Amino acid sequence: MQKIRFFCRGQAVASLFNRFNWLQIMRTSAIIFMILSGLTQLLIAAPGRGQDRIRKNISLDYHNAAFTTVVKAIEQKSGLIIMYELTPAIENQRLTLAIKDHSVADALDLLVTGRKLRWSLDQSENIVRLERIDEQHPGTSTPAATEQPPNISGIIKDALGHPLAGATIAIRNSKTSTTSNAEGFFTIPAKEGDVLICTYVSCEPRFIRVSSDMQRTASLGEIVLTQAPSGLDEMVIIAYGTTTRRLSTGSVSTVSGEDVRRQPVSNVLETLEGKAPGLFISQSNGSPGSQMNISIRGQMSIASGKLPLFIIDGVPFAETPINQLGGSSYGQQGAAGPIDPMNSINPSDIESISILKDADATAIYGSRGANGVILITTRRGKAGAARFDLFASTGAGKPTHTMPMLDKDQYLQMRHAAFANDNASPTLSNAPDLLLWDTTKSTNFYRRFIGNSAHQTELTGSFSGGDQRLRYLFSNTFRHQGTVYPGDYSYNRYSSHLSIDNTSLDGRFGISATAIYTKENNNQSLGDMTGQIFNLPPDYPLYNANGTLNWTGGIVNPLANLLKSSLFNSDNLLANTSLRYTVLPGLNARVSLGYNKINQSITTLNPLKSINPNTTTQSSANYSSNYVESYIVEPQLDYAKTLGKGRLTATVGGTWQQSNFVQPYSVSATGFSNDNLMSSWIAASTITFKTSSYTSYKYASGFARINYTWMDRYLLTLTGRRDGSSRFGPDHRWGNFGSVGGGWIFTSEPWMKRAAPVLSYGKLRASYGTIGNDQIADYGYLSTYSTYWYSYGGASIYPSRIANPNYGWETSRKIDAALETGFLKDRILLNVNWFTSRTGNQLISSPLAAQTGFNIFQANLPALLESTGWEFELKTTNIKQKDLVWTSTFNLTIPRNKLLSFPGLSRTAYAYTYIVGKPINNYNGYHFTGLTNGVATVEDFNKDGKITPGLQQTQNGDYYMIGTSSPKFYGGLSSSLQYRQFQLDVLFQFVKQLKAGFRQANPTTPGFMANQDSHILSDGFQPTVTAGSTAAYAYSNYYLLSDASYSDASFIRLKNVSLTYDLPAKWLQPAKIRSAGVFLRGQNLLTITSYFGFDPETAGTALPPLRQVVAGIHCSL
Amino acid sequence: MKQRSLIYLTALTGLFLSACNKLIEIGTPQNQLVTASVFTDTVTAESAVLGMYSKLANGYLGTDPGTATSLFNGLSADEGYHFSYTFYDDFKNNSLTPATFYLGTYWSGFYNIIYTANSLIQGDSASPSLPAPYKARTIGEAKFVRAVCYFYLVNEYGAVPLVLTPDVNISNTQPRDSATKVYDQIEKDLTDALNVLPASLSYYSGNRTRATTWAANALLARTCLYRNKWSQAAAAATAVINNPGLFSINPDLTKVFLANNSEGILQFVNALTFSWMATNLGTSATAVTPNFVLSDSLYASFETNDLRKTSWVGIKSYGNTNYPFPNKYRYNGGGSVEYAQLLRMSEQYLIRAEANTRLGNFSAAAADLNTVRSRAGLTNTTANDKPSLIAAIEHESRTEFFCEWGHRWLDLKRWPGVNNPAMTRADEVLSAAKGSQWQSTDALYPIPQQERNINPNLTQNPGYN
Repeated sequence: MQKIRFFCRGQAVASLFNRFNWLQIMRTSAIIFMILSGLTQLLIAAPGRGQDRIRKNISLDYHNAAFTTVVKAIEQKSGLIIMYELTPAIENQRLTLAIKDHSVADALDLLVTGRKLRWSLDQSENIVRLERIDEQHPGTSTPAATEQPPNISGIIKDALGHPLAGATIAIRNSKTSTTSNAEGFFTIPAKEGDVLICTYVSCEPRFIRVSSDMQRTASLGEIVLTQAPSGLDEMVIIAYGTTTRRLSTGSVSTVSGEDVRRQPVSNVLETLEGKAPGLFISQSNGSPGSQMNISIRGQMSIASGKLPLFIIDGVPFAETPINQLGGSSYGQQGAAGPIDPMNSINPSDIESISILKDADATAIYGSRGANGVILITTRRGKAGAARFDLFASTGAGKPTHTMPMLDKDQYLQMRHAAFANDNASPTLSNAPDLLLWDTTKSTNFYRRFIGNSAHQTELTGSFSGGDQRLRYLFSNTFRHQGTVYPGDYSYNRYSSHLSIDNTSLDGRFGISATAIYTKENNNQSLGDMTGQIFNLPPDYPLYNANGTLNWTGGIVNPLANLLKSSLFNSDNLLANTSLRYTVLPGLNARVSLGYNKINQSITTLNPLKSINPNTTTQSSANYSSNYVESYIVEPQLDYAKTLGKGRLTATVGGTWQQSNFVQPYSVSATGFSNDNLMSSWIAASTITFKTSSYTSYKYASGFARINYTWMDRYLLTLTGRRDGSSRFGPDHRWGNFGSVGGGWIFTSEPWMKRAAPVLSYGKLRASYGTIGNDQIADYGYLSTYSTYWYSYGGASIYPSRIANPNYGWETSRKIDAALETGFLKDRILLNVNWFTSRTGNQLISSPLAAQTGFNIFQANLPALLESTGWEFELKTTNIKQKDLVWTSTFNLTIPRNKLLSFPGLSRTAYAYTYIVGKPINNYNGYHFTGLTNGVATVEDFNKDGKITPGLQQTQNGDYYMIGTSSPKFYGGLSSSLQYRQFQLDVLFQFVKQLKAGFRQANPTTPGFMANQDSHILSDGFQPTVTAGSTAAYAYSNYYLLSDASYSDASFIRLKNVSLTYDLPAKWLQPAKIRSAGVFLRGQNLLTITSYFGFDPETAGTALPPLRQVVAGIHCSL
Repeated sequence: MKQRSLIYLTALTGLFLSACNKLIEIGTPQNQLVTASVFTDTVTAESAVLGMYSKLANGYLGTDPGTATSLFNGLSADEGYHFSYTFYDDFKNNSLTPATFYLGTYWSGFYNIIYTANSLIQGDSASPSLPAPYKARTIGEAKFVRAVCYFYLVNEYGAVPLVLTPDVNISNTQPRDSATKVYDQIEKDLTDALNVLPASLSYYSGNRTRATTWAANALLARTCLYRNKWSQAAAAATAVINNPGLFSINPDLTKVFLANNSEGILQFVNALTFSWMATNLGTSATAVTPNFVLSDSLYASFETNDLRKTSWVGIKSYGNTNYPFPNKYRYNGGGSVEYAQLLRMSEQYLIRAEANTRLGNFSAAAADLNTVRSRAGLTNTTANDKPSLIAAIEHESRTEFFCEWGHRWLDLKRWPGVNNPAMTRADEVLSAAKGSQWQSTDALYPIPQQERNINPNLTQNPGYN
């Protein structure tokens, strides 16, 4: 019944690729090929040639290497001979030298800088001499100490615009050097023509020749140092600060803006699938705007919120569909279902995303971080000449896969067999498909209703630039995305992003401001068409002979659904201002002010022309508006100081946040005089329901974090936070959370270098901490009255909630341990991470005896849930040459959860779902034992002669635990290949999981008037037309509730392929174009799965994710 | 210097933290009222009182006490069966189990209203700002509503937890209290209430939809009758009957269930757009099949010329068969046409008739009986001694109150057997009607299993496990 199938079907997009043989090759060997690529190391040394060796570009990547080793490497790569006569003191020095495509001269400069050395090239240009700078050989650029040139200043920053403290700035061939302060600011006496060498651990060095302009203004401007090739020292954004992978004590994964932009999708969360270990994301529907399911390291909470905390540019972001936050009525939904608020963040505005996972990384978020934290940082302007960037792309998408159904003849055969089996005669009421409709004609409903191409177009223009004091970025994006449905449906998004950074002349005062405004307009059919058409009888005629809609057979005519509509509008304004003042060197005072308002309104219309005239004669419509508004104020003090052989950084701060969830209105109305007057309920004859609501949430806390790094070897982070949330009763509002994290870079130990030279980097780290969860409804602790729907001759109110002022935080205790290693000069980086989290004091709607007057109230239950697992991450640099760089990243997560204890479980509503000692998210059901004469049978586990629903473990019946809905493991493999002007990026995603199969989504008994999957007859089910017949009863009460109706929904998906070609600079220079190129991107190109159903990610009868192919250009002026 | 400023800043932060409870004060929700604020002025408090009645009047089936009681008890007794839903056969066959769905909602529905009443009593009592007379009257109304709920709970389930506080920490684990204790509380609540409730309908703009001293008296009369307190029952009924200006037997049978008709002592406003009573018990003209079908024995028990047989019973023809159905509530459109009527005048006459029979005042009993009979177009009763009057009252109650608030079911259960006073009348009548399906233990409904799961202190009634 289930075979491996490849989701490459004869559809337009796929046929584009089918012409190429490489796809065929890829299908068969893609996986093996890619996995091998992640493991294989190809070390190809650059060949040396030519006379101008000193100007040749080389790359070096040495960390804590012996001086002689580095010298040898330069010799080898340059083809030069380096002669030197040095003291043992210098020779025994260990140094770090990592450069990418820099000249040999630069490399030599770096080698000598700070070592009281100078180098010179002999006349043969084959030999380099290293000499000591001493009285006899003064530096050529520093003739005498008598005439000190005037000071010149500058600021050192990283690529993200963060100041780099402790960078070294030296003047070539001189003893003069200095280091930058906490703001990256430095001054150095230098004159025109001097070459400044700016170095920073893990960064590519920069060489700056002091120009006359610089001399005149005494300013070097902003000097941006980019990361060295090793990923270990990339800047990692964490809570209230930054760190590097090398020095981090917490578990943090990052995804760069580049990786996000490469995927031609509307929701940034979709681009994170398969990208980060510990982060599991799945799409719920292929329509634009649909909601994403997100979890970090599995489920921590039984009943309260399971979402991570989202922070965008320091502003907390409500990731729950807004109409589910404040409103009391959800109303109808469009084809995409609940709208994911993250759609209102434009992916191309994103600079980086950090996923904080363990206690060390998240404890500073106190009560909100139990489910992990996702930090999104948007792009900022960079110093340099003003530039204008333009991106334009266009493309189309189709569903990845549809479910093969019985064709018309097979269907009719099934129907006739069903009547024959039951000795029944078809009548006009039970078999219009056999008696009334034209059985010679059939319709391909997939092609008719979900077969269109969903076109998309995206246009981004951004303007950025600035200098060391003022930088700006202004970017605008327009995105249009159509749907696969027939008709004029589309998703349109306009987003605008402005960011400004300003630093005072002396560098002590800084201000950064960001504003994002997004307007979304999503016009969809009412309800997902996929679920409405997949099982229509193939001979069902959409129209009657007279051209009117066919309503016979009790079938909702899908054309009617196309006449209904759902219009979703959203505005999102997110603004953040952060101010910084350097009180003393090393001490910064900051305050961050944020505001976010997301307003979503949904109007759904059921006009009269879309309604079956036999059922009702009333048109109806729903109108709702919801918004969430958040304010946040975060004062903060940072202190950094070198203390002994280490470095201390401390942060103290506070947070005050208020969020209001408001539903200005939600109105249902019927009886419009005219279908064209439905845009407002004013024209309705009856308001059947109306409501509005308002709730408020406030949150305040103080936090402190101390981080100490000793000898770049021993790392310690302590975090504490005291939190107050208005969601708890007055006596239980405050909670204390904290964590301790430590790390040991054992490869920095001298003995380790001798013991395992192949190991270039090794760190052990561990953390422990407690984090809380307050994702519950507001005001739960108050006893309240609400308006009763039924007035009693006057306004009526009734007690709507029983008071429980006694509940408090749900608390997770988390342990995290990891081994991080780097081999072969960090060309292979392997991280192994183990985590466990125990969440107790579970916030649950606790059942009450009805005699109290209520059935439930919010309470803490002593249930203890454990989430544990392993994460693996492997980053490799497979090839690194001047023209060819190939890197790969592989990640794998194996999560598990288990209900450790649940006192009183049998007395709660969870008694029929959970088993102590087993995972939650479990599927329970019968064990299918096959068909007897076409009738499904299941196992009578408790041998009582009856088949009873309910778990055998709890003596309730014959169910057993079939599996769980959470994945067994998941991960991704991405690979990036750069060859000259070409760049190819490939991303595979894989998931091992179990999901409900197609037949659960299509529960009609075989033989009834609904189409079935193409396997139903060959599987041997006995078709029947009689409700309650033995076969029908067994199908719906045994088979569909059994393990046989679940399917292995594991898949490997070629999630993304991106090919970019940059035009050579020499072509562009005449046209004064900075850079330009073209790109081709594909999403969800290939899926390998044995899932029995539409798509293993969306499952059910939701519209599968789209396979999209997009082509575009970019240009930078 | 640096260290010192760091210390200052840390200290400042500490101060900031200690003073920041105010930062997370969110006030009260704007679309809900915090309980304490409800009882600060009479306008809001009045809404809470109306909400209490509305809960009692307008639930959904299973929690709407009028319809649920009329339907479930009618089936459990011998009044008929449900044509459309075989689901209700568990009631008809007296084969209920602790898991029967509607029993749970029936139980919780009453307790939800009791909570509302308890919350109102507590809120009123604690309020410093409500005027004392207003407090007294509304507490009286709450006590009356609480008495109504306990009256049905104690009759359907026997001993039940007597919850008199909104504090869940007390009520959540409360065991069952004896029926006597519950009855004592009902009597006390009604006695308290009748002293403070208004004696005029003018308080309620002439509507009969809220508790008056007469409604309290009427329910007290029934309570005393059920407790065999004959003279108190007769006295309380007399107090109601002696108000001909307010309440009288409505001579027109078709108007007995209309909103604010003269027979109504207490009715409930129907705020729905339909009527539970009419849709579940009655049958609309356009429907093809009937819903509730009267049992043959009930249909046969109407005397010739009984106007109720033509006025309050309808006939639905389906498949060459005529099905009699209760046609008391006819208006399915909801709103203010017909109201579910908890207490009406003819019951007071029958209460006094029964009490007088037990007290030996046969002629007074016969006179009250005849008041009811004459409205139905029947001649005076010939009964003139205890056995014949008892039989006549049983007959009259059956034909007067069929499918109405479980009268027949509750009466059969409290009356001693005619032939064997050691058993109940229910045992005699229902075992004859239903054979082996009937057991004496079926007289009490089972305590819902869900409740026993959550509150292990709840014992089960005999005959259920």
